[in-house]
Amino acid sequence: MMTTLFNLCFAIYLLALVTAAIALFAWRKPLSWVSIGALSAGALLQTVYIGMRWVEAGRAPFSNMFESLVLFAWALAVVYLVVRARINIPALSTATCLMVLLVMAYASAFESDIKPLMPALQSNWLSVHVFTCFLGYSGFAISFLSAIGFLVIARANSKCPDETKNNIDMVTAKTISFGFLFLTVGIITGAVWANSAWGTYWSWDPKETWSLITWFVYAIFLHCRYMRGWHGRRAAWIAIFGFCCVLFTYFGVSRWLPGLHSYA
Amino acid sequence: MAADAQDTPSQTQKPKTKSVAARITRVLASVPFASVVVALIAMACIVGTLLPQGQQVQQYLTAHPEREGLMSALDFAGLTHVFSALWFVGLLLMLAASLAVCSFKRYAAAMRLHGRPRSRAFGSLITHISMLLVLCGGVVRVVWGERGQLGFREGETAETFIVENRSVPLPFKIRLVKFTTEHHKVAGTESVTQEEEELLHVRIKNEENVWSIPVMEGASHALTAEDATPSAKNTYQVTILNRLPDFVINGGHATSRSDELNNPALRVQVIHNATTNIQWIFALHPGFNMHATSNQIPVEMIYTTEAPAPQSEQPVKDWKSTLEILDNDVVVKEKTIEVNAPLSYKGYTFYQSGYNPNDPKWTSLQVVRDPGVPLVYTGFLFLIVGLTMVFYLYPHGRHER
Repeated sequence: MMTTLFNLCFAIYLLALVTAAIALFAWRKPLSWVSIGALSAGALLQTVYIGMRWVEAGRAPFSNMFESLVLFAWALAVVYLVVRARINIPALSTATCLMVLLVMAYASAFESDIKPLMPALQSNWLSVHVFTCFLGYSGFAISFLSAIGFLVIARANSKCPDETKNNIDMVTAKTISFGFLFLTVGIITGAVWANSAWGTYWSWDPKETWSLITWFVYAIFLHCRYMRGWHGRRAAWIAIFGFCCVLFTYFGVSRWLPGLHSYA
Repeated sequence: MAADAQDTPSQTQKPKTKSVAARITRVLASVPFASVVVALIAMACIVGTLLPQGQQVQQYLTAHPEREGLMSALDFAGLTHVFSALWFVGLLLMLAASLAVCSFKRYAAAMRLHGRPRSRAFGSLITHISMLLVLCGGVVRVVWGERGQLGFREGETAETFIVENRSVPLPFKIRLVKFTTEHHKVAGTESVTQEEEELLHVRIKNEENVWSIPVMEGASHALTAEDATPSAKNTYQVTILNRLPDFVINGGHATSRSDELNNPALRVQVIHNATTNIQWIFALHPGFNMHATSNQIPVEMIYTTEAPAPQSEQPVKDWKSTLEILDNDVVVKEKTIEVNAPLSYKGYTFYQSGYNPNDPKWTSLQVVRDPGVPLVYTGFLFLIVGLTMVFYLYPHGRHER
């Protein structure tokens, strides 16, 4: 049942990607709506999937790589739908659908069995901490896609209207602001949780430290943008670098720098 | 004249001193300075996560003894204990100075221009002050905090705890009333609830051969001795009619109370030489058979399920310590602590920390006194409020477009 639901989500996201890609070149409006409808349906179905897994496991399903990737894909879809409600950039739709699909495909490479949690993870802070972190990561992921989009149109298509460039640039900044707020909440809830479990809110664990590094990079972005007026390419490059830090924090640290978060 | 001569330099020096202070203030409050300091801290953090730190150095040298020279050089440069190195603390102090000056300048400018901080500037001010609070909380922890371990057995009382090999007295006593370790049942039972792990062993009397049949409801097997030809006389048709994992008689009928293998039982039918025998076989009571029909067929049957893993091999679900605090030899507080649920008294907090698999009545607790926590938590709260104000209540975007 759960596997069927997971595969159905994947199929719906695939439909969203295909329709978004076609909408880039033809039948723009109708297919664009089909794509957004499919993405919404996929996110809704995935909410049901996560809910069912939550009930079955008797805990928040955010504790291993499979579960966190499923949450990441869900958060990406939901955060993008919020962005899409404010502004429509077809290329960003396609790129986001592709990323959601890739994350789901990567998740399916990991073991999906429900396993008992180690004592330190049996806390309500787990759900808040992981959930907020992944909302933040999703904001950064979309900022990464829009930053790449900006660099592409700024280089290849000088005829692209300034309004489009400004819109993409603004999406980068807004999603980084969103991601920064939620990463901050994620780091704080992790610190409070660590203090209740181990008696220390900060222990320079690799995952903690790399979250801080990521936070610093985006803090520099926000200062450069809002205090020094950095827009366009320079801002886009920092956004891309920031997401590389996110990727290392998420995957690299778990793989190469084991610590308190080595289970994740 | 002399007085004039003495006065003149001080009059000319005063504005110069002021301008140096102003210049330092300007640099400290500038975005490029703050960005460079933050970038340097970030780089130090990268080094701190990539190079072996503290106790990891010895482990690294054990694995790579040939790199002792390199590690000595890194140690000399302060790169093997980055997060406690003076240069790293210096960077954090520079960040704190930058935050303090920046916050003060913003506040002063807003007061000068508007008589009060503007809403957006107020959010930014709170954000910067919040980080100062967190850093101050960290300083309080390092200077006035204590952190150590305490190990004892059930029934024992402790008055001290260990901080870096020295004994530190507690201002009260603490007694371990009870310590328990809970295990997940899943790993052990999951493997035995799978029917293919369960076997029905059948042996025809006076025969050496034993057939081990995987348990599956409805499965039927024709068993014939090796040297005999299959016939009604030589063949035993064994059929598993029912499998009840938790056998119980309810209202005169056999039924299963749950899916757990608490009392596994099989209802087996054996047909031999036109005689039918149906009987219940119990995994936990191999000698006890409940006969539904006459037992005229010379077969012995044993039903086995794979034994659950010993409890000590199953994953730990939780550790629980029931503690009593004795102040002036009077019990003033009692609580059962577990991971994520510590006990606090008079500024000391006791966290469930360790256990000894060879001594189930012994536990160790982490003892922490950190007077900086309220400052840090206030900083956390301010940070969330400040960022929400900056990004969503009074966002830059409105002015940006």
